[in-house]
Amino acid sequence: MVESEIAKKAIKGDDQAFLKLMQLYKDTLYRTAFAFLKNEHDALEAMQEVTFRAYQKIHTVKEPSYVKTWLVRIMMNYCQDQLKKRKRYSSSEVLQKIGFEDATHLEMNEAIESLSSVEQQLIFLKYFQNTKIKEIAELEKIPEGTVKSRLHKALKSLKCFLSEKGDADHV
Amino acid sequence: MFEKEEQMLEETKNRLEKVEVPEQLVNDAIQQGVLQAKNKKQKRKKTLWAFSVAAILLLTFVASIRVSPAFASAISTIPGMDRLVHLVQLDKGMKAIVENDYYEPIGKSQIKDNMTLTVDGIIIDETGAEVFYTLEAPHSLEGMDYQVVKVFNDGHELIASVGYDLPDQETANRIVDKFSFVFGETEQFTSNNFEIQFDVEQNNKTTPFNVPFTLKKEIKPGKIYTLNETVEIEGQQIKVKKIKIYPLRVAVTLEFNKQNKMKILQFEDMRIEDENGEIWSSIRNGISGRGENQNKENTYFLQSNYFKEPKELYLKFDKVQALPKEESYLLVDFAKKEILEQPSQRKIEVLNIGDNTIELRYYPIRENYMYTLFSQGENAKGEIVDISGQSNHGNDKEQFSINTLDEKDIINPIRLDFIAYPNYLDGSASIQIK
Repeated sequence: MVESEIAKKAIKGDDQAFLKLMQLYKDTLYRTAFAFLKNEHDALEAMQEVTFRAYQKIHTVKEPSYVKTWLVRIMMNYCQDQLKKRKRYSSSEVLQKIGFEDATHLEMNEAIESLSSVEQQLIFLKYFQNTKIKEIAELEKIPEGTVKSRLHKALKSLKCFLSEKGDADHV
Repeated sequence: MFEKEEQMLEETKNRLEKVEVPEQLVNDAIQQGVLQAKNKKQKRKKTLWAFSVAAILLLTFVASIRVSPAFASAISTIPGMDRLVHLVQLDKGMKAIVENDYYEPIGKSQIKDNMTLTVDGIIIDETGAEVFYTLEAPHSLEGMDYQVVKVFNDGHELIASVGYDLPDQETANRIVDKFSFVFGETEQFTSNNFEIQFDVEQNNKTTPFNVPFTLKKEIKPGKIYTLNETVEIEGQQIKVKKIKIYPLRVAVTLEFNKQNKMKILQFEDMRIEDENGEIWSSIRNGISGRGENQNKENTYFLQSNYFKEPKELYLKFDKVQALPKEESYLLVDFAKKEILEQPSQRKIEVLNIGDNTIELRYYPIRENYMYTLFSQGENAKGEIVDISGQSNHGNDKEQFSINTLDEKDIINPIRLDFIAYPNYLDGSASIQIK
């Protein structure tokens, strides 16, 4: 069965189809959670919560072929909420846990974290999920031009952050 | 323009794709999420146990409700009854009660925290009470629940278990329902003064209601038949001790011989027939019986037909659910997520075990009815583990039962005794009552 067929069934309330969808996208969703939350425990909790939310809301999905992005967005929203809550308690502790040695990655991570929630989501969809501008525009209910200009602004911020950081490091 | 950044993003992406996915744990998380959602989606039917829970076992089952237009129009002439049609429609005895004017309209309201509670009316006898009410609020009642629902006679609390439904629509700001009280013992009322008390709890806010009322109608006494006759089905001895007929229910008290090899569960088609073989009374929706786990003596409730008096009455049953005593339960380790013991029939399949949840699947036991499979659990120390949530759903091909246990009492392994199971004794019984 093709993905959009499964999605159609799941939207209509077919439990088996819903589980199949989750199976199809679980790697993507888990890695999305991991990218934001940066540890297994929280990522697993996110999987459960997002499954719960998605199961309740899947009937509201209008375009079956966008269901993957729809799921990823639920995940990103959840993760960003969690991070906000977490910030109230601690800020830097989280980053220490990652265990990524390579500098590019760390720098990029920090740069992405410096962006606004909306920009983070855009960058994530465009560059990590290869989501089409058109799809993002339709899901966000904004014109494609707006998506493009936001993306441009986000990249600019990244560039800015990275060069400032770079300069600072070299001082 | 952003080549360098895009290149870095690409690297980060590749790095992310190498993150290992803990397959089994992710699958568990997905299952838990679905379970959680299903539990929430089901219309919540709740029973508050007011008896000392340890000894009492309640047998319940729930039917899907259909309203016949003829009955609906027949009772819509009774003040306030039109809204309640769906609540009494299913029960033949309850219909007879309404038709025989034993339903007493009350119509008393109380306003608290902007919510209006109206006690619409009541049907009461010595075994229980059906209190019909309407609760209205200017806001959605989603997520609300009741706490400590009590009924008083003459200032004394009547010990009872109470069942009720909760709204399942997110938008509901009005509930028209009833509290079904089943008294622990048959009650002798000392006056006609009653009071209902309960707390509405929503978003951690509690609003207490208490509405006193006085009944004008005389409360009908029960008709008691003492039989003490024993029947044998497939070698299992069942003594029919007493049959008591009240307006709301018929209580059939059975005693099971200690030597029986089988544990007797539900009687699917227990009924009382008149001299013409017409069914005078049959299985009741909701709480269908009570007893204790040892399977010594159980009382089963049938719908009553109190206002119709045939010359002769016969108690009959054929489809008796039973399991061999030594395998009439599940033994579950919730930590290891393992079934340690279960009936060899395997007619009920365990689908999922969570930290404190268990989901089962089975072929529907009886058309349009859902049985509660367990009443409570027992932990490794022999203490009772409450089943805090139970929801059933399904269709005519398969049914699912999700049971949530009180997490704090879990000491593995947990024993869950079946109170319903689709395995039957071969035979039938018929006893003349009068």
